[in-house]
Amino acid sequence: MKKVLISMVALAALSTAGFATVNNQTGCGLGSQIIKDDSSAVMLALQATTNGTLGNQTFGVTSGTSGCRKANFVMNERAAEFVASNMDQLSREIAIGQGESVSTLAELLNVQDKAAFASALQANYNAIYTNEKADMATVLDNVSTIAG
Amino acid sequence: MPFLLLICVLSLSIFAASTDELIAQAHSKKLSESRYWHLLMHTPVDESEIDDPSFFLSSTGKTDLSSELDATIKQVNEDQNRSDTSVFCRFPARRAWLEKELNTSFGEGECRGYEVLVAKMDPQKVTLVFPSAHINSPASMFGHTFLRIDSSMESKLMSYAINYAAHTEDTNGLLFAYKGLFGGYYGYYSMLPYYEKLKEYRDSESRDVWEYDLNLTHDEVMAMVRHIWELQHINSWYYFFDENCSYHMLWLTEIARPSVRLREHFFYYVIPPETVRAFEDEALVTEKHYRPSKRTKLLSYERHLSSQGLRAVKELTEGKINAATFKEVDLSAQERRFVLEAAAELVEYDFIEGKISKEVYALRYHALLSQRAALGEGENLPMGFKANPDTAHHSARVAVAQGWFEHRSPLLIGWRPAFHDLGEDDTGHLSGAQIEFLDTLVGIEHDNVRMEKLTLLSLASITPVSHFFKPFSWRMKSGWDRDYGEDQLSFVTRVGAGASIGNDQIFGYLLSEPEIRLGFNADIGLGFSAGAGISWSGRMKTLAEAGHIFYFDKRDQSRMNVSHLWQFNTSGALSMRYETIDQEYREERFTLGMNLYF
Repeated sequence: MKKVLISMVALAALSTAGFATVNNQTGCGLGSQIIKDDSSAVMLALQATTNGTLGNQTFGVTSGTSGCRKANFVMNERAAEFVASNMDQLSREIAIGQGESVSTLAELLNVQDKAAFASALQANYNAIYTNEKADMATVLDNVSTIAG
Repeated sequence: MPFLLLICVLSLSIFAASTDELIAQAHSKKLSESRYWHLLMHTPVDESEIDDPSFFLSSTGKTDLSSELDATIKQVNEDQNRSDTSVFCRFPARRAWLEKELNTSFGEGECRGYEVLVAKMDPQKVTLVFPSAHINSPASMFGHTFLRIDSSMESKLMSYAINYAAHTEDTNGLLFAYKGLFGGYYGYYSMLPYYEKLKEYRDSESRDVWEYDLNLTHDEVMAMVRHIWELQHINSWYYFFDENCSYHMLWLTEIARPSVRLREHFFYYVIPPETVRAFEDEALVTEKHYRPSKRTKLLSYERHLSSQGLRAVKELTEGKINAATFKEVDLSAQERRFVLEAAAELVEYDFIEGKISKEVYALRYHALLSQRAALGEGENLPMGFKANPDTAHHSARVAVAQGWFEHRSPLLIGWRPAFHDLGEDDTGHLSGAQIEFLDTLVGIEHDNVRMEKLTLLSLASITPVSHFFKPFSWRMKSGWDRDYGEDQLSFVTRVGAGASIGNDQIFGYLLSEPEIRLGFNADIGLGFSAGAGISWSGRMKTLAEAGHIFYFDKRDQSRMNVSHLWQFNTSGALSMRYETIDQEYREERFTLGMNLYF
């Protein structure tokens, strides 16, 4: 079974690998996925045997935003945790104009009209994701400005 | 005044019941023999399956349920320490059950850790989640199950998933398999937000995810949560066959609702998709949901794009064209949206597979989504129908057939503990995947019993190439058969690699397969096979294959086989097979029979 890196580890590893000079505080942008490592054919074939995990967070109630720059206008830890861990899925759904992650964000921000929220975000995509380096804090701040 | 004093004294006596009184009461009620105490202690008969000493309060707790019960009552009742690390706070399930059974109260504690968990989790309902097979990994056909504890939020993404898995750092595949099978790893429970599990199974591993909502009440859910707290950081040896991921979910559910007996559906080995059926048989399941994997979605995009659209997706994904160039491509507005969505999914896929760096990924992904957002809301991508894994044929098989061979006509009796082969109905299974353990076939004729076939292990992964994915196909087999020589039994190990085209309904493949023969003669062969499979509606499958094997020692062999199977329900199928093997002479075999699955 291939080892699966938990997103935080992957995030840390990749953000430091890619941007040598980037300070941990400004990470937490695109790239929140779990990256596959190289598996040998034998590993792949025998994958079923343990469903192993390298997880060192056995009971992960801790926040996923540790190490992420905090948003200025949004004091909502759960929304921050959600956005940081789902940057990629969320941005794709915002671009499409609907999706489960957008609805989840709306619910976390106590937005009543989820459809209008999604439409407004889609129309203002470039104002939310100012460039490809936009991080969780930027996204949350921009979203709250647009959604009011 | 004396009356108030009496009330006061009476209430004090209820709350300050002595340990001896409680233990005496427990003994007279035979609580340590009760089913629920056995469940809390993970003890099927008389020995607990939990191996971690920190789970037991008595030094003989693992084998002596009564001493463990007494020790629990004593420590919970007498311990002054009631902080997070105390016995009082570590075992809320035992405590709650004892309070109910002994009609007492142990009072309050300062269990901050537990309270924080419950507040954050907000447990309301439970769902059983089944990520199905992962492409090119037939062994993963066994799937995996875990439980998701839903809060009062409408969204399920923030729900906590409770997972049991082996903890390993091993990279050697064989060591991994061996230890997984025979208990070389510790298994632990872990808890993560559901979105993390979806990122892992649905996105990273591209496995379709099936959900089965359970009808557990709030009280039942809380009973489960209290016990989950007791199990954190507790290890037991992980055994692939019986004490595996799915098995542990059965315990948790029985603790929630002791009237269900999920483990009793299984004799020795526990296969995840069969545990799903056990839940259904115990009337626990209400609604079912399906989440297509990343790969399934991308295959659907493929089906809805023209060749121009497909080319545009590839070029956008590889960064060969930019937004300006893409605007020039002549596509309908909706197809344009699908192209950008598919390209974004594919770029993400390339990043997950490690094909592009994070910087390249972020640049391309952002550019694609920016373009997509400008095109406004569009149509939903239509997803094709996928059969629920709970409609697949059962995993163990017994076969009875009549064979007409070249020189004999045996009655054939076969049995196979697991799991699925290419000639069988694919409903509810990953198409083109095969895994067989200990597939045995004996032939009986005139009181003569012969071993026809004993396959120790066979695996196959026939994965058709498509526009976005170009996997290779492969298969292997190790065991005894009578396909070499003159109807003689010999041992073969063979591996094959090649390619396939097609889809879930019709596929064709080409493989080259080196093999080693041992037994009455040692030999090496190199085979080339071409085959095709067709899945018909009404749960029928036709499989045909022709091949030629060049042998070092014996004569080369030409062979061909065609089989047809009709799965009339999840428990039974009719099958027939015709094959010819041309080596020393032409051996023709025809078989007609029935398979029973359970």
